[in-house]
Amino acid sequence: MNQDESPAHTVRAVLIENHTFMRQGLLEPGALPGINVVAAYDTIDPLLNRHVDIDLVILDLHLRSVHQPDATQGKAAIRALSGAGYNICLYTEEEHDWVLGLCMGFGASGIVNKSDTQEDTVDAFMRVARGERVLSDVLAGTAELLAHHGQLKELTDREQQYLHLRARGLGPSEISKRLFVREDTAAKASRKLADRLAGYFGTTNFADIERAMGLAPGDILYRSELL
Amino acid sequence: MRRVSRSRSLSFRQLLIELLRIDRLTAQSWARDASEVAERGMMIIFVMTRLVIMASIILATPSILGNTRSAPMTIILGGSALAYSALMIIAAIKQRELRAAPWGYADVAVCCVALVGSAVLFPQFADGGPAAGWAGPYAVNAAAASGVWTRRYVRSLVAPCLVGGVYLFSCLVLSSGRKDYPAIAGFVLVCTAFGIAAAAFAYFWRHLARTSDEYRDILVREEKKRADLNIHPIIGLLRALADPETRAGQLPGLRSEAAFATGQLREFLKVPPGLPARDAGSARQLEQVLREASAGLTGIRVVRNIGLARSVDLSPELATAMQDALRVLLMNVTLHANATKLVMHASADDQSWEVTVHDNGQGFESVPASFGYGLGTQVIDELGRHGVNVIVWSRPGEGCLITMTRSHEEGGNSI
Repeated sequence: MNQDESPAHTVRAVLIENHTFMRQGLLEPGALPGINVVAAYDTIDPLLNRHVDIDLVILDLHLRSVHQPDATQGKAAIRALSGAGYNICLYTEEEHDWVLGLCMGFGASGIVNKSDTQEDTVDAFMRVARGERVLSDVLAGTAELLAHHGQLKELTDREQQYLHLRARGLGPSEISKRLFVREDTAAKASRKLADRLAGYFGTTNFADIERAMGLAPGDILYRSELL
Repeated sequence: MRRVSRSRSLSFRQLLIELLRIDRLTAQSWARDASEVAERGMMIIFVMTRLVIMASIILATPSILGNTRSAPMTIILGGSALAYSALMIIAAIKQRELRAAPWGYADVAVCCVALVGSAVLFPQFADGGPAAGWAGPYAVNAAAASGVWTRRYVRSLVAPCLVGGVYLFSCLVLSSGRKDYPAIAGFVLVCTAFGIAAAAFAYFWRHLARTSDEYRDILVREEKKRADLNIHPIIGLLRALADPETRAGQLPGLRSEAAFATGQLREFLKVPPGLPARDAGSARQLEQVLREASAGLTGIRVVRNIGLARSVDLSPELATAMQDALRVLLMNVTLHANATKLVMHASADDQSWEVTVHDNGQGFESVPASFGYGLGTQVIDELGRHGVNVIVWSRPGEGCLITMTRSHEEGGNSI
């Protein structure tokens, strides 16, 4: 999608980000082709005070700063926005796979790294805006790890083949060629795996997650201030 | 491996020094070919033993002059043996080794003439007593020397047998005096056996030296290869840093690579060429190797899905090879692939482990001719030497996927 498309197809989004220049940058027309960032805030409060008619919330995981040390962020922010009915895509530099997985479990539908390309970023935002869950490269690796340890049950052979290639960085187009399936079939498998992953992280206790992912006991509770 | 022996002239002063300081031969063994040192060693042994024979000729001549049929002929015979021995010693010193032609053959001929002449001139030649003259010891020395200058082992058995045969013929046929048959038989045996023993010694001594040279060549070759492997990517790095067209966004990553390369170069320069390679360190985990190899990359998003290979240990040599190969791979991606994302993946099962590196860059035709020195030599060949199979998949516009696999059995790595 590009800027020439009709406004009816343009995704309306709100950015929650504590970096001033980032907020100003994404508010510029054309910063994200096909996505109209209608507002940008440094906290989630404006979206909770009144419901805004938007397709997507682009949410930074870290919102606290010296100016707003008590800002709601991380798990609390995701849960609050998800509970208010927003589609959430995290926009973050967080690298820990277990943190990102838990964010999916708390209610985020997608995760975009701030160093991802514009094309990948817009693609993920669009899909989340449509109500899909998106399996990022990091989470594909996490899903493969959990499947290997028997935590993601009832995966079909095809889904396992998809996961095998997706975790190695291949996109839907390359995977469809290798598995001799249509691209939308590969995309469907990706959505299904993202749903499974979100379901796993949303319903499994921390101790089991730590054990499955090879973390030390207490890592999830004590190693991230976001949770 | 064929080794060409080099002859370098040696002055008499140098010879004297070397005769007195034989230990220098071994002290300098790494500085020259072992084959050359072996030849010099045998030459020096010959020179020393032949000098003893020459001394014995001089000492024996007065006593045998009283028992000879012809004093002038005896002097001529002894003088000829002395003169030829002196010439042969000079030639050997000049050439720094014993040569077969013409000196070796001539030495056997002189020896045979001495045996025949002594049998004719000295009536007591065949009775084994002290008046038998100097031809016997000379024959033993010549037979032993022939075992050295004849380079082929089977052929080297001929000269001692010939000398023994001529001695036997001289005693039994030409000598007119009393014959001590047990002494004659014993001497023939000694003469032949010493020749054969010297030939066997020379054969194994040369074999040992040749093997040593081959190993040294392998070491030198490996050292050169290691230099290529270490220095080649650093040159590429320096070139990229010096290139004014290098994008500013790449500079932080290049600087980080340069800092790492500085350490590599320092480590490399610690090891003098021709000596065994550096201390490879201790075993490391595959996960650690992957993280270290991809640390500091900027200008590209790096995703590491390597949790499935956490328990894979690599031997020190394999860990070093993997880290070097990965750094070459990642540097290629950073500099040439125009990629924005790179995904490293690692997994393992009971039989093998696998590492993949995928980038979303411009890709290329994945035919061996397009791999170049980096991918072809530094990655595929080098990892292949450690039992790692490398598969490259790429198409123009579709990025590149490199898969490295290795079974646990090859090299004793454990999961």
